[in-house]
Amino acid sequence: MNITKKTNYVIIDGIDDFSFIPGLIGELKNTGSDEGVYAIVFNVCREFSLTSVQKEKLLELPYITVLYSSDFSGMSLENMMFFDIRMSERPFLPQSSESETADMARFEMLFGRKRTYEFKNSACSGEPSADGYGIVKVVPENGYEAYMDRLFKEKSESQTDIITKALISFRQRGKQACSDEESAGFYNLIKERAGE
Amino acid sequence: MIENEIFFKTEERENILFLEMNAPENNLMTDVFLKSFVNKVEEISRLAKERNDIKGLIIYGSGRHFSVGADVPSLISRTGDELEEIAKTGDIPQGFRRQKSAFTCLDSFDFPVVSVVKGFCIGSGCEIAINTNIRICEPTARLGQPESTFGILPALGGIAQTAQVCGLSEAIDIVLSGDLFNSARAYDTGWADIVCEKKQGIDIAVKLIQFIDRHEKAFLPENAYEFVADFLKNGDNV
Repeated sequence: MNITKKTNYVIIDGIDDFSFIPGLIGELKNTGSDEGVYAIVFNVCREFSLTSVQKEKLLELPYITVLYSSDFSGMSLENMMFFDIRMSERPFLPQSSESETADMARFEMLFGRKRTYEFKNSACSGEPSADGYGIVKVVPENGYEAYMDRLFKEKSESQTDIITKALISFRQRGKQACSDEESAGFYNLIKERAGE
Repeated sequence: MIENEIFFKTEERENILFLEMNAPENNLMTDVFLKSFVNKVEEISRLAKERNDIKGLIIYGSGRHFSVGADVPSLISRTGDELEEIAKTGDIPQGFRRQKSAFTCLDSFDFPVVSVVKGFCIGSGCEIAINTNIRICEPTARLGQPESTFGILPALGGIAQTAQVCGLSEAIDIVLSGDLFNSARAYDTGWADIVCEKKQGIDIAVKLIQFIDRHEKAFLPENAYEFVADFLKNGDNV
């Protein structure tokens, strides 16, 4: 496993399995890779499994989590849904049978109501979504770098920190917590500006 | 009160409420606009409690744009004044809470609230629309939450409600990047429930509300998209 620090995020590749997840925050601190980091890109090249502890720890991570693979074909949608964003050079179409087994609450948290409705009904309608319900963002080869740069452009560190916290709170604690964070975050940013 | 009447026009036709935004500079959301909007929404909330025959509410901009969003310099100046209140109470200002409540309650009525969007619908303008149950976009719609590109963030539901409607994956992109997007992308992400031809948005909103009113199932905000899907499949002339 290799950790490479970029501006605003780290890339982890050479991943054999996700056994490093429980100790990841400590590892990032020990290597000084946690300063000014708001997202982690996990670059996987083959199917992977996650234990229940690893799933729990992934959801607890205080970073935006991005799963990247050149090709997700054959990978488990269930495992892919423990990351905030998925990116690949190739589109991903889930099996229609997965609409019957997938965790729909998690699906809706990640992809919203319209896509959840379409996915739930895909088995009956026989009409798969042209963009794979937005499960995977298609980017050019290693295009996650350009994507991450676009996400974090034109923002101060504290602004990035505050907005990221609000977004992650949606994953960890739901809509009301996110709403509270956006309100508090707004005034924290105004306070900073007033102090300029 | 005079500005209140000029900035917003409310009408009722066959039990459907229409809230037209008609403020200068493409519905630029000044302090006066926001106060008037809060008053209007509270008025509609009271009406909704008094009557059980309202079929729906349609919100739209009168000119070429829905709203270009907040007047940022005056927003920052006003909220800077609120810092004294925060220092005293340690809490979010009451005025902001009231304003936010006027936005977030748009998703909680017993009847569908539909935004018809054309032109710019950005920043706090976008937050009006994302807080409603259903969004219909015309082809000229240009949407986004660009607050992150000028030092603040969308605090009137722009993060939480975008995440609920579009999902966290898209909300991360929309909110962090601050990039504007068009009606096609709005539809793909689920931000827009319907994309229609130019000048057709209000007619379709009326038909949708009438369809929901006639439907055998009771309308619930969390099921709004199911009604849209049914309408697109079975609705009249759509």
